[in-house]
Amino acid sequence: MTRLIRAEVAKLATTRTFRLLAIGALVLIIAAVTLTALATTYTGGGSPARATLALAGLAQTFALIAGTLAVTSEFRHKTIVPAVLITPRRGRVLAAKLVTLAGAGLVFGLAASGIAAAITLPVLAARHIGSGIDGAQLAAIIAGSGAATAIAAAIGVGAGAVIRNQVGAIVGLLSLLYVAEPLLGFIPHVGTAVQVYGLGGLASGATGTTGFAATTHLLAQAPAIAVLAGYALAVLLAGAVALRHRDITA
Amino acid sequence: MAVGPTRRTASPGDLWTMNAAKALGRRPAGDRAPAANDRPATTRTAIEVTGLTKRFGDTVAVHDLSFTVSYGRITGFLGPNGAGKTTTLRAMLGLIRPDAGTALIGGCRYAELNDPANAVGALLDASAVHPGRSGRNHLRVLAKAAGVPASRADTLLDSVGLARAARQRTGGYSLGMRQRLGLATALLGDPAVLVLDEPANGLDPQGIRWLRDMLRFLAAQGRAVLISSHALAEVAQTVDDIVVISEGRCVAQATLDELAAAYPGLTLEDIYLHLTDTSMETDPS
Repeated sequence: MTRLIRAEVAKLATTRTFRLLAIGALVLIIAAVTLTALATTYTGGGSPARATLALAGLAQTFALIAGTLAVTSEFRHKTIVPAVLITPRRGRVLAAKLVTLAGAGLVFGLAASGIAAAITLPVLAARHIGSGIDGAQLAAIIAGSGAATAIAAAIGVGAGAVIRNQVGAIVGLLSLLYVAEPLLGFIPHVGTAVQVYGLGGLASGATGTTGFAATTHLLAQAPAIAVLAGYALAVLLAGAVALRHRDITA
Repeated sequence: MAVGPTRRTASPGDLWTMNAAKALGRRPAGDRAPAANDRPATTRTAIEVTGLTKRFGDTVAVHDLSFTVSYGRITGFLGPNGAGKTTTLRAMLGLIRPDAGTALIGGCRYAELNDPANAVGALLDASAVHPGRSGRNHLRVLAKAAGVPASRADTLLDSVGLARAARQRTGGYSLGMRQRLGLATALLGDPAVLVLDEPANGLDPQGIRWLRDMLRFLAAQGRAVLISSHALAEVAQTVDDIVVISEGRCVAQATLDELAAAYPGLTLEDIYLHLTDTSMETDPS
């Protein structure tokens, strides 16, 4: 298993895709956090720091895409064939991808929220705006961001194994996240559940970052992370079954 | 060209052979015993396909197909487009699940092989590379997964003539270069069995000569080599045995010499067209 994980790490390191995704996400997060911290005129009851750090949640979207790409690019470029010829037990290939991408997601999530905090807190302090969080709460936000980003990458890996088609998988996941969940959120009764148990609501709950008064009913960090991990497990199991049983004709 | 004894054009001291000896020398020449972990010592059969059947929806791609491939010989796997060659090779390699029958390599299903990279080397599709990854990194990634030393990537790139392009991204490779990289991938381990789908595709005349010498060298080391091809003149110069399939069924299995004796004066192309005469309708693929 160690050598399979090493191979997966080498796969991430030897194409530009993942480097560019990580750099792109960091640039967007830094820009959005800096501008928000500079411009915020937050007067609500919540924490201006939490509201600003919520922007680092973009890391989870990018991790979801990275996880999906890690699997679907193997089908798109047919490299799944040499991969499973070397490792005929296909579940092991998926497990190695899961460990690698979740590990990368963890590091990236910690870095993204850490950098966001390193920008937000000094800027707010310089502007004499109270951050509304203490050190322990900040640590929980950063840790939650690491966990949520790792799980997002894991969901991407599972979804990629189920869907296999690269464009289909990415369009499907982004539509779920940015079209289906917000729309369903408007439906009475059902909408509340989607806001809490949808990927967006769970990610906000897991990272403890939200400034929106309407979403104060989100799950607390630990249960949100647990539910999100449950989703990942379900998708990964479906992906493992699909990978094992489907013919590879790529 | 007549099928005959003239096909054995030796090339002693050939550059490839020297490179190959360097790259592949871990299996001593003349040691015809394949790796002990992937076959019982009593059989000379490398690949045994028995009653293989595979359907895709309503289409029967392979129908009750049986043939064998021996160690130490090059076997040409011939058939019209859509005859089921690639499906058979994929079933052999555990990529697709047959509806009936078995395809055993060294007596095992592919999934049961202890160390597949060292048991079987395969080239199915030369385009199976990430265009953004260099040829060298392509091999190094797979070497890590196979537990093969990373230095083997450079040795192989050298012996397939890609040393200068090693650090270029494969997106810029020609078809011939991708074929060479695919062959290097197949040789990553120390496989006793090689399964190559159209390996000469895209190679220039030098490349074809190089491939032929390499395949002979590998077979002379005791390895089994199965190649599918449509280039019959080339096949006639390269292979020892022939398996012809048509519409998913085996229509001939013989040595090249047996075929030449059975059809005196005919070329392999004439014989092939005669054998596959039932499938002259329009190619569906």
